[in-house]
Amino acid sequence: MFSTLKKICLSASLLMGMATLLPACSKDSPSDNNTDDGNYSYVVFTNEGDLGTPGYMTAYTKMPTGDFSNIQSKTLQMGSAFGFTKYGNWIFNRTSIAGQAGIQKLTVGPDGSIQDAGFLANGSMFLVVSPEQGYYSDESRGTMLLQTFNPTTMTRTGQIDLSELSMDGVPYQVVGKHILAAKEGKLYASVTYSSNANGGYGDDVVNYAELAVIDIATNKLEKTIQYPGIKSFGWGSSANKFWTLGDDGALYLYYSGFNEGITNSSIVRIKKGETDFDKEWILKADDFQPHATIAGALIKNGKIYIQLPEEPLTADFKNLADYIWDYYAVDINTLEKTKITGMPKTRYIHSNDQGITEIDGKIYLWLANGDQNGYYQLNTETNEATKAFNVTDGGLVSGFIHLDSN
Amino acid sequence: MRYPKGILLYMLASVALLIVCCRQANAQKAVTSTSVKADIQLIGTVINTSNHPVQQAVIHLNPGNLHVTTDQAGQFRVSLKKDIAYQIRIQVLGYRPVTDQIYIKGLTDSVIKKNWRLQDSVGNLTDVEVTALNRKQQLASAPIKAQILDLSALQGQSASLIELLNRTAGVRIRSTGGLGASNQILLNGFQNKAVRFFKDGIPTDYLGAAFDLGSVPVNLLDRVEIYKGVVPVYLGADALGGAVNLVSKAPVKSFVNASYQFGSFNTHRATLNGIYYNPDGHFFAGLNAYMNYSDNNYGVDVPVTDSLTGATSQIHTRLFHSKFSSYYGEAFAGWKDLFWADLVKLSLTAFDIHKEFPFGSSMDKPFGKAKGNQHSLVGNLLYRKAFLDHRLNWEQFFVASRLHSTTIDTIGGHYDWYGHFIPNSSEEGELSTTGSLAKIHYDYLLSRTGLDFKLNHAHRLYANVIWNRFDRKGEDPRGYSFSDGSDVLKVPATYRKIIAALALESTLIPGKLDNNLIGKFYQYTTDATDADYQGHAVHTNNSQSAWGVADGIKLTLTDHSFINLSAETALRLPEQDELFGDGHLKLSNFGLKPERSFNANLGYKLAIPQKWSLELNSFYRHTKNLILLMPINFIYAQSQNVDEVQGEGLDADLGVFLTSWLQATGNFTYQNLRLKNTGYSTTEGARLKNTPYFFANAGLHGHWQDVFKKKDHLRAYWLFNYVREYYLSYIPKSVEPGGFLGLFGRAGIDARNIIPDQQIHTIGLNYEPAKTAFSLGLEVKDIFNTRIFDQFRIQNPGRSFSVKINYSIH
Repeated sequence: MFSTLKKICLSASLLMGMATLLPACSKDSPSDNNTDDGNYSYVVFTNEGDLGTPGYMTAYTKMPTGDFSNIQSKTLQMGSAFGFTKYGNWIFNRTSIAGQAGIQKLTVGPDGSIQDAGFLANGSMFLVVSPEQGYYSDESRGTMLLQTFNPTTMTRTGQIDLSELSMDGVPYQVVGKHILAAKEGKLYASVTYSSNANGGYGDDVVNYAELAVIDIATNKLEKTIQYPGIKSFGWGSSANKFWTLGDDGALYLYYSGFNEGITNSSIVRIKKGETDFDKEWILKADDFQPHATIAGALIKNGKIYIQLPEEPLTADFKNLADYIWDYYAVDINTLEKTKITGMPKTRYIHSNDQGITEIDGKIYLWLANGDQNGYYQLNTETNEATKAFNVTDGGLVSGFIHLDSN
Repeated sequence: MRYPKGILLYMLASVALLIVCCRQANAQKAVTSTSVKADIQLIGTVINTSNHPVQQAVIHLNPGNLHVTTDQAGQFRVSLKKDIAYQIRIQVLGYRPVTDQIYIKGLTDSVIKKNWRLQDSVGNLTDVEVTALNRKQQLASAPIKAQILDLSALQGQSASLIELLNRTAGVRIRSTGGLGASNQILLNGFQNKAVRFFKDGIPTDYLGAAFDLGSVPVNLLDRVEIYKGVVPVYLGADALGGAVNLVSKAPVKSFVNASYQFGSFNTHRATLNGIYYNPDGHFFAGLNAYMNYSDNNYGVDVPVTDSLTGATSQIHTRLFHSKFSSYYGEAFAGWKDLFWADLVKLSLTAFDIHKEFPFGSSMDKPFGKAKGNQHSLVGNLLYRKAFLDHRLNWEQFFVASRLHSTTIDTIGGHYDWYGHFIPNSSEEGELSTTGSLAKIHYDYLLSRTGLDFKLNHAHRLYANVIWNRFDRKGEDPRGYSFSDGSDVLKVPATYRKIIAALALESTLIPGKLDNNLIGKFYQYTTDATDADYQGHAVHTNNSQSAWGVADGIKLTLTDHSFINLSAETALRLPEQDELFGDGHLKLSNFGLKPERSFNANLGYKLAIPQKWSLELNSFYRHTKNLILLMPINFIYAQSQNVDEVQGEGLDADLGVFLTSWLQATGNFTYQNLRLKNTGYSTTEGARLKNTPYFFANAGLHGHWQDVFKKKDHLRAYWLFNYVREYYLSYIPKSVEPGGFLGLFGRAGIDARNIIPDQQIHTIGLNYEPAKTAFSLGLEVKDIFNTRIFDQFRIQNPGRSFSVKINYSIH
């Protein structure tokens, strides 16, 4: 009995002694499963659970294939992951590494480690148009102001005052919150007129979607353009920018339809050489599936690739994240759709700006359905997709980019 | 209509029970009166040196070989014959036996009263033959064991209740700032509301933030009972993994205590409490009051953004908008030893709390104007009566309160960490872009009925029923509204809860084996309306019920050691503030499910008084739908169900008297709690995030007498508190820190959201001059001024000084 007691006392004493000594002890023993050498330019971003949770960003030297873990020794854990974007060889995230709201620039080191390369606090929607010029929204400075910054130094350089677009009597109005896009020297910034109920997310009070057209060379407002019959563009809460520059030179913009109980979701465009909407063309998601919504697209070779649910979405968003989504190729001229085959159903693209993405000249389609978690590669000739890679560990894939150079 | 009817029936049943019992009491009184025509009834009270009642003391009278025991009030009654000299011996373990003589002659009264004061038997090293236990020791060695934080000996210290609890093995209180800041308890791996708080056995919800651990002063309390596993039936709550019972002082003689404490950050704390008994001891009245005030302007390291470049840098500055004040007063009066009641106590409590919000759920951005107020008026009634020669005891408690909560957040702009205001016409508040002018009132009604019945010398039956109703209604012209423009808060929200428990306490082998078997029934109903994204009204009416069972066994090994084993399948209902939010920074979540857990606890205790003591506690738990408060964006937090949690833990506490005047203490807690069945490989098996898993304390306590004058006392202490670094986010199990118990190294990925190692040294002393009512306490917390972080990486006050003056007269 006393022998046992002595052991218990000894163990307890040792553990308590350890508590005092622990601060002096430290050992780094990172695991490293990534043995590739070379240029770390393929970056996969995963969420630990569902969207909006912390995430894991890992760089690879070659196009990922097969089944693999996205948890590697050089993996960077982000405090909050809601998709990511790239410009050249820079990665951009909408929160800091710790999770603070702002625009976080990251670079990939020669050893594959991902490094902090600058942070603009309070920035939300943003656009980089050149290494020295970028635009962002910072509502803490004013909702009718558009901020400019230098992406190389990640410092603010000034602001564009768009208060002339203010509308009397509208409780909440903001520019650049949902859309910041550029085409042929012009910046297109969303103009939102809404109530205070949801802060510009789906509570617009006008019956048109409006963009401010700003000359990038002079940062001067040239005009505003409106598309009647839809209520807004974009959904600025995540990295998903809700617009695509097609290979036909046109700028395609998406309306979610969330304002209207998920109806009337559309894609509209500004054609190459134009600075106003092409009122002759509109893709309406409801024509393919009532109560559908569009959050991402890719335009290539006369086709617009989109995602559609197999059943009507409910206004309370309950089935939005269900595995009911298929990909389609839609002819831009005839608007006839062709279902992509060879892959199972997936979930709503949501924050993944690379849900339908082109890498190294090939189109990749995001797949996340609980069983699989990665990308399929599309054969544009047959409209059939085949498995490209599957992330087995690291959480939900929420983005995949190939940096230009490193 | 179903519920008003139910309430009416319940109240009628209570009244009926009261009438029946009073009749029975009258009948009993009649019998007693008859019997004392020839006898004198002696009402004795046994107290200790702190004037607190001593329960379960055995009274032995001769001639007649009479045996009685004292009740909860330390009282006993016995009929004696006149003209006989009785020898009386009072014996209770933990105190020195008392022998006295009573000789009744020539009295005309039929009742006489007499008090006895017992000396603690562990007062010096030569008298260490402890053969039984006082009340605190009884609780600490019951089959359902409590860890006792005895505050009666700590009244002179400057330490707050949170600091004292953090020195206890297995307990971690995590704060989000200085005095008055919100805090969460971590006990046996259970967090937040999984651990219930009680004041004198009653859930503290009705007292709002007034009896929060961060506010309530030590001087108002006699002790804190910490239950790490199964909760005893008299607390009767849906605690999933433990309970903390804050026990008020209950002296049986008149006394007054006052204290005043001041310290760093312009902190002032004062208490006044006392009780008066009239000469015959039947009537009493008293007051418990405190005030707290602090600027809480401690130094912090925070990010600031350059207004021109937008670049962020870290600066060291002081909080500039974190004042806190609270005022609390409880006046009470009552009667004892009436024919229809052993105790009737009426209390009226009022409190007023003002709080500036310095930041949200993280320290990324400061607030400069947002603030909240809370005030309330509470009335309660306690009735206690024993029947059948104290074999049946009934206790009834009623409380009704209305709590008013106000949030004021109307500023058009925001502040930076330098305290500069930046106007912005598009911002109408700091907590949210629309601001808040919320005025909400919460109505509480609570009834607790407790019965205990001694079946025979080996078995005792306990029953406890708590019924609780909570209503919320208010308005916020800047808050959420339905699509028709009407205010969401104007629609009443109601929460009802009933918890019934039955327990059988048995002595299976006298002196060796005791058992306590408990069955519990839980039911709750919510009735509320919230707005969906489009502003449509969504009416939620939930009702759930469930059963739970628990058992605690105590095996006595020797006079100084025993083993406890307890297990339970417990349910924890979501609390009203978890469901409804708080109207400030905590959002509603009507979809919350109750937590369900299987817990097992094994403990061992060995105590050689005035030499050394060792206590080991281990636990296993498997919880489904664990409710945690999670940040859901950069401002708000929300209670959410976090899948399943499974794990085990161990805590140990060791105390050794190195010399007659120097005691060394130490404890550690290790908790290995992990997510299970998450559906995501990354989080599967991961340690709970934002939750410390190893923490420890060490201390030296010196006590000297006759230092400056004869019979004065000087106490000095050094305390070390350590918390191993832990992560704000989940770390995949495959890359978590390695080494023994995962206590060494760093995660095998680039994970920077770390709450770093905490090492806090505290020193203090306490001086009690001889023959005076004063004592003086001095304390320096965090003497090396380290950066102290807590949950969500919120920085707490660093080095602080405090002085406390305590005054007591009996």
